[in-house]
Amino acid sequence: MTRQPPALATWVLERFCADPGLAGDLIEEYARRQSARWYWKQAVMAVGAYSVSQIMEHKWLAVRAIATGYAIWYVFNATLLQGFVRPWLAPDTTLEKAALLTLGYAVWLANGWTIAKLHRPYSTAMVFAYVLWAIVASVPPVYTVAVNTITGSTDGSKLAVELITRLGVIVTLITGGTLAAYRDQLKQARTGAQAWPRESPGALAG
Amino acid sequence: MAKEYLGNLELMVLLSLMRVGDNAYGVPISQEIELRTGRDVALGSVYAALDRLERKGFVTSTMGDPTPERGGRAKRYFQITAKGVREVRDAQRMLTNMWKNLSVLQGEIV
Repeated sequence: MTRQPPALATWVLERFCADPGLAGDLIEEYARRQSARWYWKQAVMAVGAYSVSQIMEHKWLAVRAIATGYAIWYVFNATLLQGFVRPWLAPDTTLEKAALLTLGYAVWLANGWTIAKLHRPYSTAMVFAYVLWAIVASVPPVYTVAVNTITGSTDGSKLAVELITRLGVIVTLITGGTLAAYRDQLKQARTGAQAWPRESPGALAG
Repeated sequence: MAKEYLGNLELMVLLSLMRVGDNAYGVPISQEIELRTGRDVALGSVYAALDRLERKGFVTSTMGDPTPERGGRAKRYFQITAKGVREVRDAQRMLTNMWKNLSVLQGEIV
């Protein structure tokens, strides 16, 4: 009996990788190989290869996506949230701190959503570009905390919090981008619009 | 516009496409590469290469009909263009010239 391939991997593949033939090819190969591990590996590699290929093909668009994400972060996270809301709220209790943290993550979610919406039909790749930039930008602060932890200036819990917070940001950004792309696909399915052939880069404003 | 050269994987994909012929879609193309080179190439990488080749005008693609064994998904068939064949010939000529009279490869130097 032929087992079905992992549904989540297929979902991820179809949300993040726009090629209409690839998912079918992987399902066909899965019937021969019967390995969920192989299927997951192929799906993740396909998403990575697709995103990198799109970023390389549309470098200026990737720069625009990073600039957009940075502008949103600067206006909402760095200026409004940290400069005005935090001093005004002056969070003392755990509940207040949690509320501020939730607000911060909501902005990251909206950031991923906005990048995806403004960079159709390459939304996935462009969110991925900003995620890569966010990872690179995280290196200096994480490095500082790691050095402080090693030298004993701070305890290990601060490093753990730093890593978890930044991992949370990346997951939230990707979730925002995914939700936007998913909504577009639902809308496309409802209107019966053709997802293939891909739109030209000139159609980005849509 | 500057001439675009073929990458290693792109060349392998084009050669495999020529070998498979009319029924060329992702699965037989990657299987042909695996069979001839012994390399297990990810289908996603093959598709990324095919996308680049299509943008360069070396291949064209058409969608087939959805089939139940593929979960109702259609196959994307690829064909090499005349420009693609010319590009493969150029690559062959260049590589053959590079290989010619290489003493290292003739076993004179170990």
